[in-house]
Amino acid sequence: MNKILIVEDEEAIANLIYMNLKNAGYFCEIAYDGQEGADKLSENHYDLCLLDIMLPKINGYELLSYAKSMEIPVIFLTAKGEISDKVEGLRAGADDYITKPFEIIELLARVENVLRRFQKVNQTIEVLDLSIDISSRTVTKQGKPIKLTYKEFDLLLLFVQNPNIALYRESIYERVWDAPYFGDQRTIDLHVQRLRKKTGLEKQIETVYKVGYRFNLN
Amino acid sequence: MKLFWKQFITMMCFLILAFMLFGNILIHTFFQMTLLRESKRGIEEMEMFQYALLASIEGLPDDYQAIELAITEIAKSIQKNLENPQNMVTIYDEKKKIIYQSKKYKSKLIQKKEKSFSEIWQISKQNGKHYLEILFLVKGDFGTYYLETDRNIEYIYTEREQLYDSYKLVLIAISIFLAVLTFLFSIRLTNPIRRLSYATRAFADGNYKSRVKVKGNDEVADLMADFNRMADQLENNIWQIQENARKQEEFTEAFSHELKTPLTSIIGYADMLRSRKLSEEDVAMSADYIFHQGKRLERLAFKMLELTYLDKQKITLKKLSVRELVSYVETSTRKLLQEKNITLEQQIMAGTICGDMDLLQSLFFNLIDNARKACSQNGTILLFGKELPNSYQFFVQDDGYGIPEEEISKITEAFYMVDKSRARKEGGAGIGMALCQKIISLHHAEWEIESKPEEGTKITITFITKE
Repeated sequence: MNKILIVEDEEAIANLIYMNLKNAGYFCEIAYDGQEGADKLSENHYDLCLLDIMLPKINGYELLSYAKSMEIPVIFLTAKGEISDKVEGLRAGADDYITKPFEIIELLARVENVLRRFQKVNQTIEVLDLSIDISSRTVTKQGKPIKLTYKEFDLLLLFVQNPNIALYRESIYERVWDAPYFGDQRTIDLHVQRLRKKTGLEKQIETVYKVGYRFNLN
Repeated sequence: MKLFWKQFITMMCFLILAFMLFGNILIHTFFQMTLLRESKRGIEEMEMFQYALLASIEGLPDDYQAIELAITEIAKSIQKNLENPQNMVTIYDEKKKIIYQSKKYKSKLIQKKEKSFSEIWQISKQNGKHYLEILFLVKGDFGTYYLETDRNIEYIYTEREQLYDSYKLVLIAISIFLAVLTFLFSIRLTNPIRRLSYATRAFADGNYKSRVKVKGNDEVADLMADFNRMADQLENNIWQIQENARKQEEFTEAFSHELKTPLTSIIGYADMLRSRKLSEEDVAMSADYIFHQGKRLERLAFKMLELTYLDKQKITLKKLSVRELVSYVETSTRKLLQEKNITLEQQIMAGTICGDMDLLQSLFFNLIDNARKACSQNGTILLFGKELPNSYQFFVQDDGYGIPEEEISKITEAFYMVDKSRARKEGGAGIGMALCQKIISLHHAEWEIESKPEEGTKITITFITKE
């Protein structure tokens, strides 16, 4: 289980991230200011640090260099949407950034992404009788390979990584097709249908009325 | 053409023309005087000649032939005694016939003679030489004769030519000297303009510190002083604009941060509620977060509205009782203060101030609310009012956390929070002090903030009551 430190002075936001990362299967701790963040970083080992920039006591940039010195990957959380701020954050050594306000699936995707880049997560995900290899983008069912298209693979990955969450068509489209959603429901439904058939996850990928789909995993 | 060259060339032209004119007049006058002197001398000589001739003829017999001969003889002898024997003498008889000529010379003067005259003279040119011709009438019992002398005065002309030549050399020397002098003078005269131009260019290129050193008190110096004054004003304005832009930028940044933070929570929890099956506890908690962050947004929106409203507002100041104002403030803050069990001690002298009741209530509410946020449980807030000769003074004092000295000047900037996390916990949006500042300046009042960390903050507000 990956251990993630959340450094965020807004209690509401810290708790929001905590709840969602916990649900996605991470072990999380929260620090409410820069000082507490630095203390926690030095006391424990973390696989990833989510860092707010505007922090009391010690600011995000200082904490970033401290975390980098311990070779902990860092994702910046920032309310500053300016390109220059993003560039400054990335130049300072951040591995990724998330601008507030953010959606939960975006947060999870970025966390997953950075962890994978630092090879802190398994390259293969085992779900039910499926085995998904992310690096080679191959899926096997009970040892037998399944042929998936590019989009179908991304769709499967999205479902598997966000279990028990109702995924809105809008969010699915933006994540998998990487474009703004203008109500093109058929494309998504078609892909999901084909994915269900190919993977045999007809029961698990549930249609949520008027919303989208949910991948149920008990 | 550069001003330098314009001035240099104009001055040179004028000076050389002046010197040329001056030289010419001088030489010409000198020449005229010499000529006059020469002619006077000639006439004097002729008078002597005439006298001698007349005296000699007196003693001669009345014989025509003899007289002519005698005259010739006398003329010859007189001529020998002349100052300059080169001068030619001609004698004519009544019919203008030459009866004696010392040297062959053709004069036209005799043709010009008037009916009655005693003497005439003219200058004529023969064989490339100038001659002064003088004609005299010699008249007596013996008859009428004309006596003419022709003096070679070429030397006067040669002298004049020589003078011209040497003056030309002098003029060239003078011109060179003048050129150097004018050049230096022009440099000196245009140098301040060059310095001013340099400073202006530097200013235009963005060096707003560029100034000229003012020397002297002529028009250019005035212009330089004016330039400096303009540059000061411009630099000040530019600084002001930059400062305003910086403040605006900071405001926008802070505002977007203040806006995005509650939005993140609201969107995040709402997203969670709509997409996950949460436990009853989690649902309640999420809804609570959404509610409170929504409230926070609401507060922010209202304060922002108030702030922009104040910006556009023209208030009417009315006389109002201090006691009445304070009692309103006390009522409106009572509930808030009770939460932390804070005592509001007040000591208000009766008095009136000019102001807008609603705005002043908002001012004191904000100040007391700020004091409350700074205080810990069971703290004390003092509200004093004091009537002074020309003003009314309020003190709002707390025994709370205080403000670090270097941050006091910033606390009136919108969204500035000394301790961000504490301010949020107390429900602050960071606009209160900016609002207070606006209200105070609308009332033409002044305030002073004194604070020591861990000891408390004292705010003094002075309202002018009499002009």
